[in-house]
Amino acid sequence: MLFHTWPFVASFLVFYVGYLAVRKTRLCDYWLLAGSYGFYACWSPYFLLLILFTTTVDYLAVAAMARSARKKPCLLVSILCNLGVLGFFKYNGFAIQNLNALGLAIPDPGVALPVGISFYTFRSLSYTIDCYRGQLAREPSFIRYAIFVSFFPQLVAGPIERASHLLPQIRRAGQLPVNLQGVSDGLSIFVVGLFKKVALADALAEYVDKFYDAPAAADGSALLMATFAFAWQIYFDFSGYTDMARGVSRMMGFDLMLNFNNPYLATDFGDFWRRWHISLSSWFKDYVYIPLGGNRAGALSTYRNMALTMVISGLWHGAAWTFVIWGAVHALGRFLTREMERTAFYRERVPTLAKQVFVFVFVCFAWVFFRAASWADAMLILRKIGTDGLTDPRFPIFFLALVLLIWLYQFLFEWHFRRILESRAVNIALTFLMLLYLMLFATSTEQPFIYVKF
Amino acid sequence: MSDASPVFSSNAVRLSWRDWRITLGLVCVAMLTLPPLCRKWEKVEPPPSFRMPYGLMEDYWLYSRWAEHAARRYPVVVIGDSFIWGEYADASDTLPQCLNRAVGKDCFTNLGLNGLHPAAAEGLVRYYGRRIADKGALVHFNPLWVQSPQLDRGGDADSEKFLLQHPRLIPQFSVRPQAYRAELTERLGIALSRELPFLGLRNHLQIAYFDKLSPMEWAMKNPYRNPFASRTALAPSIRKSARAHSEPQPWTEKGIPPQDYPWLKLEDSFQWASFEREIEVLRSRKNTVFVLLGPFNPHLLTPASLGRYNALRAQMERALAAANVPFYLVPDLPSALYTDASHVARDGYAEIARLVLQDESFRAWTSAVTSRK
Repeated sequence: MLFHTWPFVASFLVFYVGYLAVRKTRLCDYWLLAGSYGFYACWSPYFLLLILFTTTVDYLAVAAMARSARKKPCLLVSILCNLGVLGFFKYNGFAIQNLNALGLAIPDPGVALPVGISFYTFRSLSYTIDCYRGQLAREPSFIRYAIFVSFFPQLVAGPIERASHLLPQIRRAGQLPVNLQGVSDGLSIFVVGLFKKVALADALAEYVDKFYDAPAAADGSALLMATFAFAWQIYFDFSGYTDMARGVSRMMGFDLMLNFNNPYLATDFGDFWRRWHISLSSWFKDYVYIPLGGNRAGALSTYRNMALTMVISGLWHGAAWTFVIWGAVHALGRFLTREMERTAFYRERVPTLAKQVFVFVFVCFAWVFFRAASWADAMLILRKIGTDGLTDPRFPIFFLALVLLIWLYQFLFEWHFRRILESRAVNIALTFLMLLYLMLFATSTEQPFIYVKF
Repeated sequence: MSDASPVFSSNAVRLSWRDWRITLGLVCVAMLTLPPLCRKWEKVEPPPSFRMPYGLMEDYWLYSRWAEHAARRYPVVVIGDSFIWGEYADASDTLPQCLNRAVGKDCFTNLGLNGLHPAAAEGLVRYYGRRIADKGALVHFNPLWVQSPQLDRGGDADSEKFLLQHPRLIPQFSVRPQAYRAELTERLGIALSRELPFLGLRNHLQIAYFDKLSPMEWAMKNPYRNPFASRTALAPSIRKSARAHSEPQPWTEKGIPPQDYPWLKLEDSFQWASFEREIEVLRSRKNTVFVLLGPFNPHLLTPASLGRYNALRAQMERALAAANVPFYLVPDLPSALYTDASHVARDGYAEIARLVLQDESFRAWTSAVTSRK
């Protein structure tokens, strides 16, 4: 069930009325859990068992930690179970493919990928690790812990909320402010997300798919524009999902973390990852990069740790070598911008806009590996972009103007014109135009969100 | 709002409850004013022998505009499927035009739509034909729709797809054909679009300006064009539809083998019941109704099927007479005039016009409706 479909809107309204009725009673927790499991059951009812397994293992692991002086074995059990489940369901095909490339002949079992497995596994894992580190108190209620793992707005595509942020809200769900301002805020965020997904991401997907699905038949200019379009498609798609998730939560009184903060205005790659999929990059920072040593042991080990973190992050996105390369390219971008930032010339003389454009172009280069169907396709696309002469890419001018206007809006928002953009008249006008556009021109294609696949 | 922070959102859009009320008020104003503004802005200037353009058959917004225009200019509207629309004839040679030529003045106008089975026709007159109230209505019934249970119901009980056209016109909640299985949200959307002109306008824009594509699909084909640059976007479709849509070749030259249609009994027919409801709707709006039954090509039926058809035809006559609806049963025409089971071409229309004008009840009805102010 997708956020931008009528079945979700209708189901949510029913759920919301019930939530308002029971939220100050003992039934609230059960209602939230039933709603979340019901939401997931619409995607794949059988895989609910997997969520239940992950939830139970981690809940028991932390309970065992609390009772025992030897915490490490409990943590290891949790990590092995979570990564084992993730590895089996997400990476079995990839592993078999690579083993077969070495000469074996293992048949592919064709295991289906459970929706949102990468998200809820990481969410649950963060809880056991934080408890192991003593940074978080154990949650005594299994039901509340189960809600934390499966809370429906963020269940299938994030943000990857930390227990320290979400569990306290779940504990006092009855006292959360559910009022007109919360509903207004939630609606505001939701409508922006809906516009990003339906009016922009799904529209740009038409152009991207046409050329990326058959790169051999496309010319370099079209592939260049398709790469530019994909950069915005994935941003609108994923941040649109997050906005809708945050909007729905806000209406219920919950506050989910900001997951995207105008990433294409980043001035270096560190900055980019503080703006793009913030919940994932902070997860990797806290649970991979810092445990590896972070930047504490000299430049060489810092870069090694960065590279490892980025490559693992790439693999988290998808079970294919192209995702690994994508992570490696980002690691390269981090090294480059980090070293350049160390020079006074780059830091002081190079205009911010030039840095932003450089990072954007580099990010687009990396997206080629992310979107291409294979390594060969990615190389073909890059070769064509580099060597084909300029031709008419036939990119729809209206959508190009719309994307550039949104980019300009983001510049202005982070620059000196924020007060104008925050004015009531501008906000009402923008919301009105978004709603009108959606009502007049949006089509019910029900394109799934890109990140739901991860 | 001054307290908007990056933690709240990565943009400044944050409306208070009061702002939302203003915004939703503006949306309501837009929904109410855009349809009439669009009617003023968009030029719809139908030529004398106008019929709905073939590519815009599902543009019911345009249909209601055309019906309004027709009701102002002509005393009699002719409603029916592709037989009335004129699949095998130029716009100037369809039955309404042949009748006009035969009576010597412009009385009849073509409000036919391709694929308009009676269940769809009922929806069409109920929801999009309000402007033709009080007019004379010549309503055609094509027996083809009751030749088999599959056609009558749009498919079998286990059909994956609804086989009939115009699903947006059929009843969505009450007496649906068994093969129609749209999702609840889709049916709700269709029901709403009949009552809200804004949604009809949306459908019209998509069909007439975006060639039934999403804006991006359309823009991909026309990357540098403004879809609204021309206020007469309908003109090319109208010009194209002046010509016959299919080659007017006699059925005997198409190699159609004898057909053993089972034919339904009227009491079992969903389409016939819909046809009766269509007449009720028209009569409730003070339309003076006359029914044209047929023609149907008897030459392509097997003897057994022809026998069943003749029995059904008699049953139809009895049903209409019992309901006190004036009608004319088109007699069997020479084989050469048929282009398939239920269509004729230019000569066939001229012959039917001649025959029907010989009918006393039709002449009386025509003179009554054309003499009305």
